[in-house]
Amino acid sequence: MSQALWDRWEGFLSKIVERQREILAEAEEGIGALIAAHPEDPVPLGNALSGLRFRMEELYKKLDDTWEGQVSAKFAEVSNAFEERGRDRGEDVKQTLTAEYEALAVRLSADFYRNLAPRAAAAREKPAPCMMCGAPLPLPTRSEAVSITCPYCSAVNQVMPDRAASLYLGAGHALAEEAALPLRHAVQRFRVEAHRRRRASNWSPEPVDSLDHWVQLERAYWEKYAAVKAQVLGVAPDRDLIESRMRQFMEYTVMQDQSWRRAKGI
Amino acid sequence: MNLDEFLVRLERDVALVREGVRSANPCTLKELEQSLLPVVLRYAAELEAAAAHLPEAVTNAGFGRLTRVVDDERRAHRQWQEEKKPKSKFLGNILANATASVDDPFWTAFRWKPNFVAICKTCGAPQERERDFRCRYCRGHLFQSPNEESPR
Repeated sequence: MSQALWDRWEGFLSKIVERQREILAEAEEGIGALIAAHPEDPVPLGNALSGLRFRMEELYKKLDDTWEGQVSAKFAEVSNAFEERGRDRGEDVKQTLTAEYEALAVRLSADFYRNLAPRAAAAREKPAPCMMCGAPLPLPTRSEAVSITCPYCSAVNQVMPDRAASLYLGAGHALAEEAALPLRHAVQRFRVEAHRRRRASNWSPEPVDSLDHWVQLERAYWEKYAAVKAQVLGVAPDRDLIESRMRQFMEYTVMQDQSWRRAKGI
Repeated sequence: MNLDEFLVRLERDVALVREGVRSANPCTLKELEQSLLPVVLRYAAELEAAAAHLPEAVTNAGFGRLTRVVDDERRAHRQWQEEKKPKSKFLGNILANATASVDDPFWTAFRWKPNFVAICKTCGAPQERERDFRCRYCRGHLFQSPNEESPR
C-alpha cells in the first residue's frame, strides 16, 4: 500500500514539475520577445514577471493544498515516518521548482539590461550641445541630470539624463542578483538540511558550527552580490551594504540563538 | 510634378523605412518617428518648391498625405507588434496584459526638454551661475517676468 501511495504522490509531483517546465519554456520565449520589442521600457518586463510569479504561486499552492488536503492523512495512516518522507519529498520538489523559476526570472531581468547595454553605451557617447551656442558640453555623465556651465558661452545648461543610460543604472542590481542567486539557493538548501538534522535528533539545538556556516554562506552571498554590482557599475564594492545586510541577518537569526550567543561570549 | 508619381515615390520610401525598422532590431515608436522624419521633410521640401506651379488641390493633397505619414506608420507598427506577440498556451493573458498600457496617451504624450537654459525674463541673458536665479547683467528674475508680483 505504501509503495502505491508513494507512486501516486510521485506521479502528482512529476505532473507539477512538467507543468512548470512548460510554463517556464513559454515564458522564456514570450518575455524574451517582450524585451526585444521594448528595449528601453522596463514596465512590460516587470508586468510579465509579476504575472509569471502569480502563476507559479498558484502552482505551488496547488502542491501544498493537495498534500494537506488529500495526501498527508493517507501517508500518516501508514506511519509518521512515512508521512515525514512524503512531506520532505514535496518540499524538495517545491524548492527545486522555486529555484528554477527564480533562475529564469533573474536571467530575464539581466537579459533586459544586456539588451540595453549597447543603447546605454551609445547614449553615453551622444553629444549634448549647449542650448545657447551649440558647442558640445563636457558632460560627466548621461545617467543623471546635470547642471553644467558651457565652457564657451558660460550659459548654465540643465541637461536631463538619457533614458537608456539612466535605466542602465539598474543593471548593477539585476546582473549581481543573477550572479549571486546560486549562493542564495545554497543558503536555502543548507537551512532545509539543518532543519532536518534537528528533526532527526529530536529537535536538539543547532550546533554552533552549523550556525557559523550559515553566517559564512550568507556573507558569501552578499560579497558576491556587491562585487558583481560594483564591477558592472565600475565602482568600488559597497562594504556598507554588505555590513548592513549582515547586521540585519545576524539580528534576526543567530543573535536569537542562546547557545550561539553564549559560545560567542555575547 | 505629377501628384500620382510623387505619392508613389513617397510610399516607396516610407515602405523602405518600415522594412528597415522591422528587419533590424525591434525599435521603439520614437525611433520609428525619427527614421520617418527625414523622409517626410525631404518630400515636404520638394512639394514646397513645386507648389508655385501646381494647382492648390494637388498641393493640399500632397501635404495632406505627408501630415498623416507618421501617425499611419505608428498605428501600423503597433498593429505589427501586436500580431508578433507569441500565443500563450500556459501563460494566458499575461504577455498581452504586460504591454496593455505601453501605448497609452498618458505615456506616449509625455514629453520633456532634454536640455534647457534659464533665460532672464527682463533682458534675455542666460543663467551664468548655478543656483543663482537673478540675471548677472540686469539682476532681473530668471523664472519670473517683470510684470509678475513677487511671491514674497
